[in-house]
Amino acid sequence: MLEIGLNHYLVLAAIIFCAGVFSMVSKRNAIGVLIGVELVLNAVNINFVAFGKYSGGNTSIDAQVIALFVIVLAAAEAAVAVAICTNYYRNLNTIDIDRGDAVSG
Amino acid sequence: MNQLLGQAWIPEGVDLFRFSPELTLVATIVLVLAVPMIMGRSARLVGGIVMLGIAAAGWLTWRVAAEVSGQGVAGMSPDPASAMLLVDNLSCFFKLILFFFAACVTGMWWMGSSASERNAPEFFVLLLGTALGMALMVGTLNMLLIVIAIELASLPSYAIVAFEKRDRAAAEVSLKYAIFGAISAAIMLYGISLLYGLYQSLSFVEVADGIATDLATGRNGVIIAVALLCFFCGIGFKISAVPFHFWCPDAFQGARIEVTTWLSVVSKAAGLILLMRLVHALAAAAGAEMISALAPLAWGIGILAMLTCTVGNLSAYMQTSVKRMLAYSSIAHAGYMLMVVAILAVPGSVGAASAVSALLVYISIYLFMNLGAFGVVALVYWHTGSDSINAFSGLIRRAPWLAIPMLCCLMSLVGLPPFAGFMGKFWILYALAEQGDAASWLYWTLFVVAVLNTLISLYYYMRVVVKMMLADDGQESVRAPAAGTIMVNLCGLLLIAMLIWAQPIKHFADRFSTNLYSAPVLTVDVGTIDQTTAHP
Amino acid sequence: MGANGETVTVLKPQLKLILAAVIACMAMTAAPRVAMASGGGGLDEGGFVSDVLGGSHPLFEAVGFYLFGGLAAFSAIAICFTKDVVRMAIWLFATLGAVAILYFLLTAYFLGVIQIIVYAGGTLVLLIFGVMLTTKSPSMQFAVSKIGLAAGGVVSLLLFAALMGLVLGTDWQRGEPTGSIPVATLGRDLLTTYLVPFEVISVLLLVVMIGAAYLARQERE
Repeated sequence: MLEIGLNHYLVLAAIIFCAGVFSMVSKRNAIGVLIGVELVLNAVNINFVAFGKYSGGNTSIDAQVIALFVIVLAAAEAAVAVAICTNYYRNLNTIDIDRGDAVSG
Repeated sequence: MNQLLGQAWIPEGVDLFRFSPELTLVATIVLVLAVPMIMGRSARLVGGIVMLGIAAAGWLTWRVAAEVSGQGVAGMSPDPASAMLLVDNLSCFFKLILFFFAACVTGMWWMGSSASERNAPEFFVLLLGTALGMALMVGTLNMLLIVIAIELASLPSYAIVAFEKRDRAAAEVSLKYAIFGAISAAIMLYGISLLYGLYQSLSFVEVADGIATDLATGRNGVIIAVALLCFFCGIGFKISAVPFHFWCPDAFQGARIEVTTWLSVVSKAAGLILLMRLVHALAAAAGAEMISALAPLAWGIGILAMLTCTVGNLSAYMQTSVKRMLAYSSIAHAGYMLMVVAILAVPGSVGAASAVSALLVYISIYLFMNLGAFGVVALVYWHTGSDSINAFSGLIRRAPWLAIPMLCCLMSLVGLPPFAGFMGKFWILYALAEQGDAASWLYWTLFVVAVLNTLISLYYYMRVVVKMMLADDGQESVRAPAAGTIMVNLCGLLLIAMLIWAQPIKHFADRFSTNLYSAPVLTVDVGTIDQTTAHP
Repeated sequence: MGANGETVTVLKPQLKLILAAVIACMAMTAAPRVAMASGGGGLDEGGFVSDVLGGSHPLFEAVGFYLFGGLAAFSAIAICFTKDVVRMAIWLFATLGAVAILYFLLTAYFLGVIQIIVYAGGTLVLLIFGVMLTTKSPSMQFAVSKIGLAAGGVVSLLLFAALMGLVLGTDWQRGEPTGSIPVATLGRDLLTTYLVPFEVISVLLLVVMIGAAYLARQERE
């Protein structure tokens, strides 16, 4: 229990992943959904870094590099999504994702 | 400092040459941003730069295709084991299609929107950004680059769907699109992290080897399935396969028609070719003696394909907007193409080469069908301001030179002779039947589902045809720009011509599909690279 | 919570204290490590500081993991049950900070710093801007139906159970835990092995920035 190993981190990542999935499916606020996505991406990064450290070999650097790229991707995604949210808000005067009804069929 | 310089690595000239179409796109993006700062934000100027850039990229692709026609190569990394980019006939073929189509879409934009466009630089930066992402998607097996390429193809396309900022529908659908995309990308990354944990590599070739070893010994079956499922979730989003298709009709209806045309063909084709590469890498690593171990993969993709096809076709019924109907039709067509991918999941299968060439033929025909159909919808929309089916009423009288190509394209989408769509369907069905005899009755099921779906689709395409030809509620005639009329008529003519020259086209596709499969991609490349760029 | 914006207290005082303590802990843990990682390109293995803070002492590592891992998990779950977006963002800040500390425990120092600078400092601020630009009152909430919540909860719990079974049941490849990676090595790899992704993602950032700026800009007419 006191010896921290790979499984500890994987379980933590699974908890954060599931919290993220719950936020993604249950929030009606678009920003709330995005926060759920950020949680999942954090779970992904914990996975990568933990695998990099504990799996042995010299792959640890791969893990850290991909985690860096994931952080950048998250930033880019947030930038586009927030811009789209403000555009949505300007047009519909709300940020409730269940409110849109201009297209259907 | 000296120590660092000593370890510096500069890509080989030949690597850069193979990468040159992508580099040309990047240069075009920079020019599109920089030139208007000096010469003013003229829409036509920007369009001209884009056309030149695309033409240059296409020409370079052609040169690269000639250079790599013997065998696929990989490179752009000092370490051959972690090669970043693949160049082979398949990726060159797709890039040629991509650049040709980009030129067509720019042409559509030129006719329809350039006069009133005030944000041309932004529009083309986003469009070329998605093009670059798609070009990279088909040319890599490194999971990190796959993720970045998918994001590069996706993120700008969320923004470009919202390009009409005052349009409420566009704002709405782009939010839906972005949120779906963000969720599926996050889940895909989780799958990749599991794969990385299992095999300590980002190269999908090594991962596939590891998976094959594990499957042979019966280890880790469930977690491999879960990880691959998560991974394919992100690709399923790109090709709008059925559980991930909800964004597609909305985004396609809300976006500008040029954007819809663009996304409906190349975005899906890029996703399909990427999926095909991954599935092929898995099958190649597994080898012929492991057909049963990969059967769940074949069944998974097959069932997904059947669902995608059927749901797309059934939802296209009763759509009042032709644009939305064509969006559903594009889902259904992605389903047909997915069926072909299912063939590749059989290791060492006899039908693999014919499946790839059937897919390539289908993609190239589908390009013209969709370009023509969306082109006519665009021309009608720009004149009448409506894309509902009623706007097409009596089109044969109001604009015969639009109604005739529309008829050709719709019949070709159904897959009826004498149009090329028939040939596309025929080769897909042929590949399925061939595989059904050789491997499993799954492929005969797919065959039957494809035929039934063709019958279903006949109805809703015919609705438009009947409206155009037989109904007439006396609307005024449609005046379309001459260039647009010529373009859609060329598409219609080509669809007939492509059936006449079916055999040469098939040979051409065969040529482009073989080199990937005669030489397993990476084992060959590793040998060619490590003499030139060994790690210091 | 006042809805009209005057009496809104976004955070309770106790929560503020906890957050302050967490930030202080983060700073204390992070600072010496960053100094060492950037200075010497690695930790001096013998010293007291590196022995205690470097995660090499198992007890310290356990305490650090349970403290900050617990905080990360707790705040992630708290996000699920918060209705107010601003509070969600604050909880996300706690998660991000705790995860950064976990990176330090995992000896990924550079990543920990980047997590704080880019994620907590950039992405989160962006999200909070998003909240501010899309609400009339900072505490606006949307009622989510009970059935929806219950369904989401059941799905997530099932997912969690399945993932636990998978993750703990899998025979992951193990090896000797690797030490920290000097920043110089990371930098060199980014410009050699990962040159193509590095360049492509810079194009991605450029394109995305243009798109986001275009969409967020108010048209003047």
